[in-house]
Amino acid sequence: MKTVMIVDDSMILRKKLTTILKELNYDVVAQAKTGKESVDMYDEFKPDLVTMDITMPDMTGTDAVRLIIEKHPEANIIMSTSHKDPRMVKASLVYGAKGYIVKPTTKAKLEEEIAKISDLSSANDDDDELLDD
Amino acid sequence: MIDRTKEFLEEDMGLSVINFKETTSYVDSNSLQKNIAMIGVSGSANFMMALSYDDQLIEKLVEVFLEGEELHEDEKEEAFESIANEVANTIIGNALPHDNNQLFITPPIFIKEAKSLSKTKNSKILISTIETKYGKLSIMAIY
Repeated sequence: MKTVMIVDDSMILRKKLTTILKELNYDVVAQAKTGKESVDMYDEFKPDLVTMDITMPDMTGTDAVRLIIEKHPEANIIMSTSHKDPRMVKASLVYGAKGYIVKPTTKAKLEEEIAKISDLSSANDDDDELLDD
Repeated sequence: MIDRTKEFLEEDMGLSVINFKETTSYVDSNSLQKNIAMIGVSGSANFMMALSYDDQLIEKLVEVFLEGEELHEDEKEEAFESIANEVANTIIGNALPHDNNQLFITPPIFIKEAKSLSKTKNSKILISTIETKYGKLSIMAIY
């Protein structure tokens, strides 16, 4: 089962995302309330996927992405934003986030974004199997 | 902002809007409000937005958002604050224009009861109030 870390300062959104991600067969191994917490937790848990809110006190999700990707370029991070303006997530994508969803968060939106990244992961798994043979 | 609020309540939360009132004239501050989520907006314009909710409406929003998932008693207060902030963040973020004028928002701050929404004596508030079966939601622009 793939693992996920949820990063959001909203308690109710962390709860909702936990439910959604479990339905998508993810094991929620960590939840961070701030960008700063998420950087430390990524080092500890190295989840297969991260959902990252952008607007948080202490450290923005964009800055957290930059710091995580610097140490872990393989990280799969999906941003979560209330802005419909794509410019608001542009910096996160430039730093290495793999996609984003616009709130309100739904299972369908998250599943669609994850599927885009899963294609890359599946391709990598296939390559590894070939090398093993 | 008002349109997005109505749309959010009806389409995203499944709560019908039964009444709507807009105060189009300027209203002085010092209005007593409950369950307020405040968000600062900056960039090409600078002002505050606030959403205030009746207690019953907040409870209903939590129930709908979590799709009936049970909350422990000690989680309820935090859940109510959290939903007030999350709804405000979603509506205001969604409603901001994405043209050449870039606007940024702060993380929301929750206030249970406020005697005054603004420290500035001459600040003005524009208020629109939306009524649902579960109570009212007011949207305020403070500048």
